[in-house]
Amino acid sequence: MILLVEDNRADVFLVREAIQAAGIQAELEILADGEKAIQYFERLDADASRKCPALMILDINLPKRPGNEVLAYMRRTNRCRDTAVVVVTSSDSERDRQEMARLGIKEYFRKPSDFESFMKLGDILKDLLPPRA
Amino acid sequence: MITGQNKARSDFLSGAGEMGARIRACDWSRTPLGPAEQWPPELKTSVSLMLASPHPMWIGSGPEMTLLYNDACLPVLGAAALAKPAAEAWAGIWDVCGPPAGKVLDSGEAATLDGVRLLLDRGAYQEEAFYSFSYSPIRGDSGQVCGLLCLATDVTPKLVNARRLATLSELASRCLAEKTVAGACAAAAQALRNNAGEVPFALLYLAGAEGREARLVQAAGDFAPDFAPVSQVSLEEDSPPWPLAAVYRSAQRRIVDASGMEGLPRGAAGQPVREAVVLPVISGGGRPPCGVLVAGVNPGRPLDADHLAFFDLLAAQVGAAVHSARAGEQEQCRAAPEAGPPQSPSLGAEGVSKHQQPERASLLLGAIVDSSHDAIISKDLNGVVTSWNKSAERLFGYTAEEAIGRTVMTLLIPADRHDEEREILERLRRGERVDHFETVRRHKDGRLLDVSVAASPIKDARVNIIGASNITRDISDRKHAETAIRDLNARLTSELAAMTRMQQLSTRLVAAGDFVRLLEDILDAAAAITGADMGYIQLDEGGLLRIACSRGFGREFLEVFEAVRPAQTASGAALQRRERVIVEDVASSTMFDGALRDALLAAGARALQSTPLITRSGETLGVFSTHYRVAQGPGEREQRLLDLLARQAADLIERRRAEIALLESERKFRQLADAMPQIVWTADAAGRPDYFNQRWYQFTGLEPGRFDRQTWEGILHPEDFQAAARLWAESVEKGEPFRAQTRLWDRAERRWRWFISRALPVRGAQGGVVKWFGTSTDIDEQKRVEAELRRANQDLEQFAYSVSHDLQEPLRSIKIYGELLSRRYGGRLDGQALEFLEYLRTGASRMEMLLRDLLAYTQVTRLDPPEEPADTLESLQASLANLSGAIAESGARVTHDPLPPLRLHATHLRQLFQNLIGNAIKYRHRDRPPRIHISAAREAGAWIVSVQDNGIGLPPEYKEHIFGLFKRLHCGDEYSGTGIGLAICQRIVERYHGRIWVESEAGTGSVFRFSIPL
Repeated sequence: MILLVEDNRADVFLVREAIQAAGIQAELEILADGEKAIQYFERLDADASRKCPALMILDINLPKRPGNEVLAYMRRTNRCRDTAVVVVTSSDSERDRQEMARLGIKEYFRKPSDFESFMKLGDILKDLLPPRA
Repeated sequence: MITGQNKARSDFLSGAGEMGARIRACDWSRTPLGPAEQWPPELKTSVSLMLASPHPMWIGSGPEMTLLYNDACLPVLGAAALAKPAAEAWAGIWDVCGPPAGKVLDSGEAATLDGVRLLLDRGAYQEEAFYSFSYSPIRGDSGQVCGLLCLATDVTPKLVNARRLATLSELASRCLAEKTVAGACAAAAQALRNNAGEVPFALLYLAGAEGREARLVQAAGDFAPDFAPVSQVSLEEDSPPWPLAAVYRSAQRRIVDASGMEGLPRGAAGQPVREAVVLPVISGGGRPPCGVLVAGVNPGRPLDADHLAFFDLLAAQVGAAVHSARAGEQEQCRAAPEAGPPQSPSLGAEGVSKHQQPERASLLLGAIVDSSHDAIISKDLNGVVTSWNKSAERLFGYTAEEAIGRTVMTLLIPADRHDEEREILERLRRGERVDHFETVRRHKDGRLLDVSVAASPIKDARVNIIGASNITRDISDRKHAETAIRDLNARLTSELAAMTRMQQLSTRLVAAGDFVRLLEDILDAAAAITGADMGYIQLDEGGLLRIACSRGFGREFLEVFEAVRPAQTASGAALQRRERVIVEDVASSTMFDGALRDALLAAGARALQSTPLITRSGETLGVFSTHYRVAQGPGEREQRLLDLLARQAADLIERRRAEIALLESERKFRQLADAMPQIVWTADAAGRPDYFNQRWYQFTGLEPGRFDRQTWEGILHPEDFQAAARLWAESVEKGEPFRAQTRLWDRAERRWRWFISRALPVRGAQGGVVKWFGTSTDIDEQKRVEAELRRANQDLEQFAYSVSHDLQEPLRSIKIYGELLSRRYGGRLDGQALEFLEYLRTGASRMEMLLRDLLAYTQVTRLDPPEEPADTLESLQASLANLSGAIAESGARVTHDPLPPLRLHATHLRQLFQNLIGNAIKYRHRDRPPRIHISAAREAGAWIVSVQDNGIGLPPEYKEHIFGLFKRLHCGDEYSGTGIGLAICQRIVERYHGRIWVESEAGTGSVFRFSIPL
């Protein structure tokens, strides 16, 4: 299962397209703001029966709680502290890049402004997932 | 307002150079001399004299002879000896130099010390140097000695050369007497032992007959007991420590590093010998050498070319001695069968064994004579010249042909020295040596030469004295130098005396402030000196000569003479001619108008002299006259003293007038300053404020009066206090303009207000700062507006940044979904729908470009100033890499000259190049591929970088226009662009206080230039 934290529905669609185009067979769970994401991780730690995501796709500019707080929170949870994270964002700021790198991410993917480039996200995700996820 | 004391202080310590600065910086109040301001004026004068001198000089003053010295002494004393007692600073030589110095202080008489040996600390070693010291007393106003001034002269080359020549000379004369090789070697070693100062040790090896091995025959020097020089060495293979074989085989000298060798004798000042020279000993000019000489190098002197030449000469003399002794031994063998009693000393050239003697003499002399700077003459015992070297030719003007066969007496000896030469010949006949003595010889052209002469008898193999060798050295240079030193010393002493007298008079003027009284003093002094009975000083006042002070004249005379027209008197004539006029008999003189002459005669003045008062700048101020009751004029000495007094009077009058003028201008200045809205202030040379205008007192609420640190703390903002004090101290120290922004407490509004304070130094005639003139301007409003503007600007930038960034977000969706629409539904749309979609996508692309450039534009100021200049070539290459697509597509060729590093961020420099080169490609001419050239030139404090192209150019009226934001000359269909690129360039360049402009001609191309300050 892949967790996608993204508020922009247009981008949710594109991420979904990319996953499909790469032939990834995984369930996609979508959360539309930072607070929801933090609550999600809270619940995971509280309820061992829930399944952990294999990968989190995280936007930085999110309503309520920004992406860096979500990631920082996740890194402190019991169950998801080591989960792979790909940041997908429109920000090109060096400060954001450094902040996210410090918190530990697999990839910083800057949202491109053409379709073909966006689809490359699929290949990146595929490489990060276990072969039969 | 400056006081006399401050002026005196800044004057006497204004000497340039390191020591001037150190003396200024020194806290003299901790030394027995006390604070510099309180030194006796004579000491101050001497110090300024010393600082101005290029010769090494030092001064000892006070009970401990506290030391002051100039820059030229630094190599000898270093910087740390300043203010030390002389006995401590000169510790190594004070046993020699101290007593004469003490005597100078006690007796007040000058003294000279010749050739004192000093060891100068050169870090790794101590260098031997020789100085001559010449002491003069410094006298105070009452004549007591208050210190001594010492002129030091470096005589090292002279004395070192003399010592080396003495070594060579002793070697020659000792070996000469020896008839066996062993004896000659022993004599040579003894000569070297006697001159261990120059040659700390020596080892002499002689080669065996086959040249396979060498034997140590002599060792000179104080070797350690356990140091045993190898006595038998191979000459076929080198064995340590000396490369004897190599030197023997090559017949070339070698320098050996001896610094690590144990047990070697030590050299000057007990220093270890660091180098030795290994030299071939060549006898009779033949090869191979007859032996090898190892000689230690005096560690107190550098091993320079002269030093090496000395060792070469040394080895050559040893070689000559060995050769000569061998020849003697062979001669002895041959002569042995018929040996008889030795012949008595022969007195004539005829008595010389004709084939033996010249050979020996020439063998010996040949080695040393050619390389000698000394005139070397051999003569027989009648004084007839038998040989005459090149130096003799140079020194005396006679060629060898002219000289040989004639007597020394007729050639060289001045008539009054004939006895001297006779005595020399007499001593030589007795077999005695004549050591160097100074005398005079005559040149061919009659000129007399200062020389030093030494003579040694020459003996043949049977110990008969057959002649003599004369060594004559030209010492005229030395004599000149000595005379020059004496002259300099005398000049310094008299200059010192004159300056001291002058200073006493000026001090009195400043102290007393009574002008007329001083002029009277001068007149009294003149009367005493010249025996004049009366006198007056007249000043030129608007064409009339008015008496400023007089001595010995009654009221009636003064009424007549009080103010006279110059044309009527002798003093007027003196003023006009600018030279002294002497009237030896007033009664018969035609210089005076009748009434004036009568008045003079009635007052008893029969004779007079009038000396014009001319300032240093050449202005005539008046006349100084003395009168005599008998018909006579002043003598030559009196006239000289009158000149001195007249000069002093002129200076004093000028100074007093300048002071009066200064007071007047100061009054006007205050009037003006008080009328100004700014705060105006002045400070003395030391930076102490001494005047503030009314505005200051209004603003601060202070009362005129003392100004100290506490006063400042009440007025100056605590955060600004230290920085301002530091800046002020720096300006005062360096004499450079002062500028600082500070907050001052506004008493009326009860808040801090920003001021900018500026001050400029006012320099006196000598170039020293005499005063500071400053203003403080209220810039509070300006500061506030600036701050607001800066904030507004920052807000705007932040806004533009956010806007351009946030706008990209929805734009991206528009673009991608436009693309997706045409991709997935393209087939189902009709032609017009597809066209609309295309407009949508190009609009979005253009918007994206605009936003990207706008972002770049707002980010120009986001970087801090760079720490290091950017590598221009690197930035250029980075921009070309970014433009590689456009370059390839257009077929552009980009060339460049060498480019200097520029003071800006590499990112900015890359943006500049990228925009300018990008434009050059974009606006290329349809008919030709782009040619772009980048060059740089230095101009008025900036680098100017030019980017030249051969594109379409632009009409002149748009030259300014194109740098504006969103300004474009072409519509989007022709040339794509956002109109932000050049605005970015301008913003970047202006951020570094440079500028950007274009020179262009429509149709032929453009040159974009930007300047970046150095």
